[in-house]
Amino acid sequence: MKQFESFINAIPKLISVIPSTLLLFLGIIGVGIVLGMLLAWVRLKGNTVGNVLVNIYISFIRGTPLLIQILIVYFGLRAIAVNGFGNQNATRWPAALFVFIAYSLNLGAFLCETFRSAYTSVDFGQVEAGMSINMKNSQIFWHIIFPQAARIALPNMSNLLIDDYKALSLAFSIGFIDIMGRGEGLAGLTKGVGAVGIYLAVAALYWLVCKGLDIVFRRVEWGLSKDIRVAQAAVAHQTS
Amino acid sequence: MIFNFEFAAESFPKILSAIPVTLLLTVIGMAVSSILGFLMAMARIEQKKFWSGFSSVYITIMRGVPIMVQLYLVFVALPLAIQSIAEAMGIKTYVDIPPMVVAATALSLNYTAYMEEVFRAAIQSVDSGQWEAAISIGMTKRQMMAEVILPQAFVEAIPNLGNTFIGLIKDTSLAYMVMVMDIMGEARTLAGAGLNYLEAYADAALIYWGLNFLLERLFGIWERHAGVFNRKDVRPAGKTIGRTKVKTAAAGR
Amino acid sequence: MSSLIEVRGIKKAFGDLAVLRGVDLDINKGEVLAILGPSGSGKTTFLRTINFLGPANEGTIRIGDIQVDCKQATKKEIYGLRKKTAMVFQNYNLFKNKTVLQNVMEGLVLVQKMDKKEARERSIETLNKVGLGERLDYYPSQMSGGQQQRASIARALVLNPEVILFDEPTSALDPELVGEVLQVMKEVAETGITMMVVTHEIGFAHDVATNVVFMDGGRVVEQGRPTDVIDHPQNERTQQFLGKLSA
Repeated sequence: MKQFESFINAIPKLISVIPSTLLLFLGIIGVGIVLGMLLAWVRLKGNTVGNVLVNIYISFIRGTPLLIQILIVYFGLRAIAVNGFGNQNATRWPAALFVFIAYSLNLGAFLCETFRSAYTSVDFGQVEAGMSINMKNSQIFWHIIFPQAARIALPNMSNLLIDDYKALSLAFSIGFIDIMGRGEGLAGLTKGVGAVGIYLAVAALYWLVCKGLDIVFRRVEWGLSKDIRVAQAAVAHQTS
Repeated sequence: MIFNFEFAAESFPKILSAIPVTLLLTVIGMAVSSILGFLMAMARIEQKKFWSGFSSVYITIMRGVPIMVQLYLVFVALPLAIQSIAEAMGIKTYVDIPPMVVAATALSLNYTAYMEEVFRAAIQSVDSGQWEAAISIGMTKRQMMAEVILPQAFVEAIPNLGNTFIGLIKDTSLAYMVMVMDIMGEARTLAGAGLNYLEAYADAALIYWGLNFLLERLFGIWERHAGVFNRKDVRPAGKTIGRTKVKTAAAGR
Repeated sequence: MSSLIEVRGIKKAFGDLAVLRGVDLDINKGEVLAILGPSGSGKTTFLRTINFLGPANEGTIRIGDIQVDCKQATKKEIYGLRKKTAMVFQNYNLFKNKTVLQNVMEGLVLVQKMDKKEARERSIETLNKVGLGERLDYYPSQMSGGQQQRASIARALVLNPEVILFDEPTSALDPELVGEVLQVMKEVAETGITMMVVTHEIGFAHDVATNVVFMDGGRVVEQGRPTDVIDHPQNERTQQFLGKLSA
């Protein structure tokens, strides 16, 4: 069948795009996490001007579609560069740059909430134990709070990250070539013939990558929870 | 200039007028996905032979594929599917499916997966003792679900329903890719003439932001109002015999 | 005189773990049976086989004129059994989304198909008897544990069942609330209705029950009148159990 043919044909071409998207994805994760932690820190500090600003920022990111955020970053930065600074080179900046900025800003806002609630749900008794043996505040944070908060945040964060990878499918609207972008390009070349096959290939590959990411995150969660599992095993051993 | 405020101001009301289209798409998507999602949740909870497995697979697929891709798939596949069925029946037609239908279909199918999880979690969060008490006084399954379980589950679900609704509104922004004249569609059309994309999309962003802000508030009110029976600090109004009228349910929190 | 309730050979296992190893019991109309025993003796599991909330694997149960074989009970038979019984749970299990009055009316209206007006009257009357006449429109979350349990007893009472099953009704209550519930249970007993009570309240078993059964390891180990079993236990396990509790 025609569709099946175009499905098979499309796969290798689509796969070739994946490595670069994953690279960009890693960059977005890195910046997003740092930004998220910074924002969470500001919010946790309490009633400051920073807190208000951060709240507005997060409200905007969560209240508007990612698509619009991408488009505003794209047109906005170009407008500022070209009309504000007279930099005509801006028109040749790669789409990946705008994608990187927009998605990082977006991810940071969502991660802020995740990190904040993970931080506050760490048992305060742990902190008190640290204080009672005269640990410095920074030590308490990095050795006690951070590991436990990270573990609590991980499931939520994995979901956000996987959703973010799927959201890369929007990036072709400003010309970034991810799996969807390549697929659309291919469909354009064939003038829509076999489009179903092409998009099915796109769907299948996204599904595979997401499944792969899911497995990776589960392994990380599993690895981080070693101490809990050891304790659970010990308890089970006692009662039997 | 960097930002054409005049254009932005002029276009604002025009883009605003596209809100009904966005809302219509959202409501349809929500309604259909709620019904299907609920049915799937029940199938999985009751572990009905075929449907339970089908639901699990469906959800895995829907959550692993981006909405954008699903939208395009529906866009290209739906006409072909209908055409094949028509040809099989001997009718030669050219099928042109309205963009709204394409968008509504794709969004509904995708969100069914989320709604299934919302409903399933809500139903399973109802204390098992409630089920036991209902059985022990001889209620039928239908009576039990209608009178005790579902009302409690629904109240549990309201916050998630609100989040999903807002998520859906944001996802409708993709519909303009298939030529739906919603907020985004209107914005793009207006911007196209003079390449004022930044201004038009900034307007659209403000409108989405305002809309979602309002909805968040509304859902918050609904949540407080519906969960009255869960609140320990509230006294029932009026009818109690021999007690003074204390604050009513609505004034709580 | 044939007994109201006849239970024979009840066995139940969870996988490899045998929890009930053959329980036989006869209960006459109007009796108040207290079921005592240590945790894990299977007393709650046994009680829940009576109304099929946790059905037995083997055995027969007869309540009045309905006899059911646990292995092959039909839906109709189970339904019939449940109509003859009502249960009061350790965690009250009042319907959270309904007021106290609605909770009590629910069974009458939905299961016994009673007219709403009549159901309302009967319910108010019963709620007055358990001392909740002033809280008809309260939701369970707005009441104390003792009040909720009394409402739950009213809900069972109003259905006029042949037997009321009590599953450790005071175990989840704060100590100062236990008394009010036991008092209501005493008054219920005095109306002559048949009761099966799984409990740790030895005092209640001694003063109010007409018969006592001591269970251990999934079997009935000793049974008889309260003054016999509790004051002069014959069996070693019973002695151990009661000795521990009274110390």
